Amino acid sequence: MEEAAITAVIPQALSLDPPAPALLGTRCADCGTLYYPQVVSCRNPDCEGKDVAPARIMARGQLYSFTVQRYRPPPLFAIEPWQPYVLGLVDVENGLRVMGIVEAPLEEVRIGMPLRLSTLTLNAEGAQTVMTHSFVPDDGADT
Amino acid sequence: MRPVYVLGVGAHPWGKWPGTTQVELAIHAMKAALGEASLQWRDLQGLVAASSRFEGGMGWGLHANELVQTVSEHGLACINVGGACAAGAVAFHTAHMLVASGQYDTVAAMGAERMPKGFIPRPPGSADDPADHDFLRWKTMGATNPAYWAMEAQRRMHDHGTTAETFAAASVTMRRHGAMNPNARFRTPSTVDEVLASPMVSDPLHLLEICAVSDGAAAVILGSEDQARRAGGPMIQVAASAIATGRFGDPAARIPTVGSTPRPGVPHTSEVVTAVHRAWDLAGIGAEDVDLVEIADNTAWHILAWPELFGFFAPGEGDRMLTAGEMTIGGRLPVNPSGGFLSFGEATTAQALMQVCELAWQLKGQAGERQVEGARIAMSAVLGLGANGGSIVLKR
Ligand SMILES: [Zn+2]
Repeated sequence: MEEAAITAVIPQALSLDPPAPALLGTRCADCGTLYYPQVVSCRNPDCEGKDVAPARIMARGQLYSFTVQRYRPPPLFAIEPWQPYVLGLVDVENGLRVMGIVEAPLEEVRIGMPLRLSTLTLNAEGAQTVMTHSFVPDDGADT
Repeated sequence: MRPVYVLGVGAHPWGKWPGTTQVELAIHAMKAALGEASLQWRDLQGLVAASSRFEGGMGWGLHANELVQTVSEHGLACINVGGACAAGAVAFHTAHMLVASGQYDTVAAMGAERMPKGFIPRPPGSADDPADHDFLRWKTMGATNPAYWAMEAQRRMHDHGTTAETFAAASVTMRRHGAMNPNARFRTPSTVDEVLASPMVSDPLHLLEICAVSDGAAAVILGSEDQARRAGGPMIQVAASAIATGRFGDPAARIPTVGSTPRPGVPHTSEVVTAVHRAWDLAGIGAEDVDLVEIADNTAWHILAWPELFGFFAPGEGDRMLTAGEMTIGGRLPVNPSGGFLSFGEATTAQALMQVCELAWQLKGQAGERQVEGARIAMSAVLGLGANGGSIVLKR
């Protein structure tokens, strides 16, 4: 049961189920606003109903901006081995902008580049592998 | 509402003061402010404290109560307010409204802080809530505060062609101002080369382009017109104070957000822009009337971007204004004559009140080498966690 040993670092925020990873968010049934992470109410002041339902976000989009996390963050981020990594803000769908690690060499990272949601191994200990969400260059092919 | 005046301001110099408690820092700042106001502790009718999460406050954020139980038990009203890095502005606004209401004649606003070392961490004991952006940003991607500012800076390079040298020059300008301020922690001027040679923290921002964390305290005593005449000196009036929160659709990379909903037409950093424009409306002024501004320059990016967001300059114009010397003392809009956060390091809850100290010193003509000549209207702008914005306008 190798697959059962692969878990999301926060299972309520990231689905690893086939066919492709998805961020777990919320969509407002009244105004359509898409949220990540999950919310208990829509926060759009123009929206009166504010009824929300879970949403799976497959997340394809364009890079809005990026940086490099050069210093090791506090231990809550349990990545092994550690090395500096690119962080990006990605405009995905329905006006949602999501932050995440961008798996691409820094010299190839450009604002506006197409990206799609992927997963990255944070750490693997014994049979237990812990994944987080990431973004990778999108070649445009169907996943 | 009746007019409200600044009776006195005071500060404990910024730095790292391991041998001084948070309460001792507060006492120092309050003593200086009371001295300027020619008041004793027992004359204060109210004390509003900017509550810290880091130290003191009896574990409940009761910093005002802790202070009066230490220094002067005379039954005054104590109010403790949150607002993270904008807490000082919230405290000022509260004190302003208390005096303006007519019920109080003398009220102090105070912030004192001893900061932990390094990156400001997640609050200890916070629940592992999968819907909490702060939990997610640490747990799923290890995003520190500078990463957020850096992504704004990177985007500015893309949108407006800002260069690494211009970011560095913004830091150099702040350091030059700070070198003239005895309350600043970093008082050695830097060069563009030195800034660019400092370690890269989050591309494109270097260590010397990001504010450190410091210990410090600042206090402002507000009072009625009668009190201001009694205290003597130039009459420094509170032209306006305003606080605001963020608007839906704000495109800012707001700490600690990991998923946002930007919408066209919504102001960037809307909590601060709204507070600033609210304050201008209340004061009956516009950008052209402001003689100097103290802004929350957590990074060099803020120096270039914030004056544009408020409407002092057109988008992208900040770079040219900075390099032409228009943002320094003697320029069109002196930005942070105090030296700003880049020269002080941030002592979170005290920072917005230090801004007000500088406004008052500038308007009274007591700013020494960094004096903005003839300053009559001075304003502040500050941002805090939770989408808290604050802005204060003083006039002489
Ligand atoms: Zn809605």
